[in-house]
Amino acid sequence: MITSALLNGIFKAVSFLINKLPSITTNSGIGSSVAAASQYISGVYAFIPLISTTILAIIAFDIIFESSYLLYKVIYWIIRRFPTQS
Amino acid sequence: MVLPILFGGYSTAYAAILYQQTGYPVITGSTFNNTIQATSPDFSGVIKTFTIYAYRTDNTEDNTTWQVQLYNQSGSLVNCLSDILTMSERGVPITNNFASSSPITFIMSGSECEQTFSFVGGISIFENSPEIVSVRYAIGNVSQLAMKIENNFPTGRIDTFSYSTTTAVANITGYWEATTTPHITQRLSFWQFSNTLGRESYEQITATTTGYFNFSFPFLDPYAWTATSSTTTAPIYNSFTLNASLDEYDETNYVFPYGGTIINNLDATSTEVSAVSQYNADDFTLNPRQLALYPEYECGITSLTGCFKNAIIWAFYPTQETLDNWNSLLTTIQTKAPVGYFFMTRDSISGLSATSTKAFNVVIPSSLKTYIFNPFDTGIAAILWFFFIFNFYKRLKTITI
Repeated sequence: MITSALLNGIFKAVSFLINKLPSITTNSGIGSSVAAASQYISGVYAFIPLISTTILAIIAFDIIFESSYLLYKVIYWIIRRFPTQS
Repeated sequence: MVLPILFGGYSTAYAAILYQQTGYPVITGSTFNNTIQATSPDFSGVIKTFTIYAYRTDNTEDNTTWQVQLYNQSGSLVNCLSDILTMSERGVPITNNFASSSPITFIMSGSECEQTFSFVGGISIFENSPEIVSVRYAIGNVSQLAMKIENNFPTGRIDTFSYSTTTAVANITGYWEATTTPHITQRLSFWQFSNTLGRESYEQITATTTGYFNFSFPFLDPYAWTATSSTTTAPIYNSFTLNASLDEYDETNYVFPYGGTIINNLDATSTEVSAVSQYNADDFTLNPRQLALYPEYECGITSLTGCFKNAIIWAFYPTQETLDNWNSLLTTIQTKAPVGYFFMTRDSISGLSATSTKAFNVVIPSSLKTYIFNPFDTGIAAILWFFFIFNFYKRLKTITI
């Protein structure tokens, strides 16, 4: 009861703020470029599978890791903008 | 979802000779293009094979391909073609006389092999390359041939076997005969089988006319859960097989319950409808995971602690609505900037595949791949992983939180 009321209140407030942010739209060019990249990767994968999967895995991991780190930095920067009592 | 399963199957053939050339035409000159005109009876039924007695005098044409094509009366190519094989692959014998020639069989296939058409259009037999069907060039050493065209009349076969898990209906097409032999019938049987429920949805149909058939049979989707508000096909939780069999029955001695005994299996096919490899609670519900019922303790004069526990649970345990609100908040955050960009990137990268249609083909000898490319592949991949670990460690040292 208490937890539910508190959580619902927080969710509503956060939703209200979040909905003020712009929505992202996925560009169809991303899908077609991923499909084209997959075709070229498939051609290379046929005779050097380990190298191609290793390179793909390293690139994917780097992108995800760095974007997560950047996201963390952005969110932390936003949080630090809120005034606190002192 | 409909999955057509084309099944060639086995069929007993009664070979009927439709045309046999009595004389042996001598092909002279450099053009091997013998057009044979005849007024033989129609090709009825299905043309399965085309047999030619041929020989050659030496092996210079070993790698030359030989394909048979059929033309109609107006000279247009009919979609009934043979396989494409070289002279040596076809086993055309090297000899000096026709008496030692061998029957060379061409397996015909195509949508128009199954039509009834007249033979008056003629048949051109020529050698061609696989890429260009109309090029003709000489097989100078095949100087004599006799032709025999055999037609394998189908006595019964299953052509296609498809099913749909959304409508739970299987469709079977094929060819069967209403035999004139007393007590002999051809019957099409359909059933599904699973290890847990055994045989179900068994149906049998007896041929009453000779010709092509097209039947639909309903089957059961074991354990498939269907929601009325769902617009997608429910997953199958238990694998089962769909089976079809075309058999000849002898009804001389009545055998319960369908009568007759199987004397010949003309054709049979089966296909497995596989269950989903993994499924979790989300497959059973459309909504976000259902919250378990509140744990409830016995509350009474003799168990007052249960009353306190229930009170605390009532006060602090979150409701289903709260969890739903949390899920919808997560979904909203994933569609809004800046977090949405991360999820969009992640989803896009997950679409990368190394096994999709190739943009180009690289053909290399298998020995080169085994002894050069594979060790090179493994070695370079290991070096790449080593460098990645080394550089990632250096990157972690520079991160500040």
